[in-house]
Amino acid sequence: MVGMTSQEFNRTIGAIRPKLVNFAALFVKSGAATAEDMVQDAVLKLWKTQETQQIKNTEALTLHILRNLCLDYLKLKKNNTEELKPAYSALVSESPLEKLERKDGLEFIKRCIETLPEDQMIAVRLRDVLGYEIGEIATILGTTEVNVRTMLSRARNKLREKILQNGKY
Amino acid sequence: MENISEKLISSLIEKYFNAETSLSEETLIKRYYRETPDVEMSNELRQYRDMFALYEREAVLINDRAARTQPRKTLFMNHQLMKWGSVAAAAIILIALFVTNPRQSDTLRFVIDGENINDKELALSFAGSKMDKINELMKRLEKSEEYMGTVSKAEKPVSSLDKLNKVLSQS
Repeated sequence: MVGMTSQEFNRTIGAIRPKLVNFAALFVKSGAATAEDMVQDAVLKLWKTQETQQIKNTEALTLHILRNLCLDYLKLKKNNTEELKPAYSALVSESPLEKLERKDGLEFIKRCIETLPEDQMIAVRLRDVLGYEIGEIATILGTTEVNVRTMLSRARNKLREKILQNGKY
Repeated sequence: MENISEKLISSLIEKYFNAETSLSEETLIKRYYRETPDVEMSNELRQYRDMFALYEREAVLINDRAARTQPRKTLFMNHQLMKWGSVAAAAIILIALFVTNPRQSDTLRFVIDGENINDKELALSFAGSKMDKINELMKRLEKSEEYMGTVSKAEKPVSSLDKLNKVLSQS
């Protein structure tokens, strides 16, 4: 579909919009408005793309565009907050009091996920939080299903290692 | 609901960490952690409870957020229409009462620029012209409702295009 009318475009995007917002919300924690902004930017890029080339799978392409925007956002965020909040290094050099606070299991896991390499983190969130099929994740990440399984396995085992090191139980 | 055996979950957990589980098997693991009390869970399985709890919590939060984001503008528009609709309806009822109430017809009082107008026909024609204006207003309101509907549909890509225009004009 090259050069959709704005009505067709709106209809197509409207159908996948909740999924797009869900996806962006995995990366953006500062409120619904920012996730919406990410989606808007992705939709704009898609609109420009569909004017010049044929799109076979709108949903996969939009999620792919969105994923890149989210990664850019994460990189920007990381650069801006790295000095204030070193991610995992904070966990190993913390005070006894902080160590006690870390026992809050959910927060601990959350921080561990944030320290994963970007694609592994995305794969874990798409699969374990949003329940995407391996094939869908492969399309979004622009890789093969085998690679997605490898990414997932590595990510989950890293998390397992950290959980066991934490030794809560 | 049927209890999920710990033996089954233990074997699924190993498959899970090797990324060999299907979505339905992962749903089963999540269900086990959701429904099984801590005391009934082996130490080994309990270690991963927080991880699955976090996934479930994030999924709920994200779904709530998406659900809250979607209908906001539609609700706002309906609220605005309701408000103006109520005002117009109240005005029509008041004027209708004023014009048609027979008990007040003899004491009909009308003031224009501080002067009492006792001409009943003049008063009625004035009220009639006001009614026409209200009807016109209602028609405009209906048109704006249609227009707002169209705008809300087109709003998303248009606002994106605006952003693009802004960027282009800056550069």
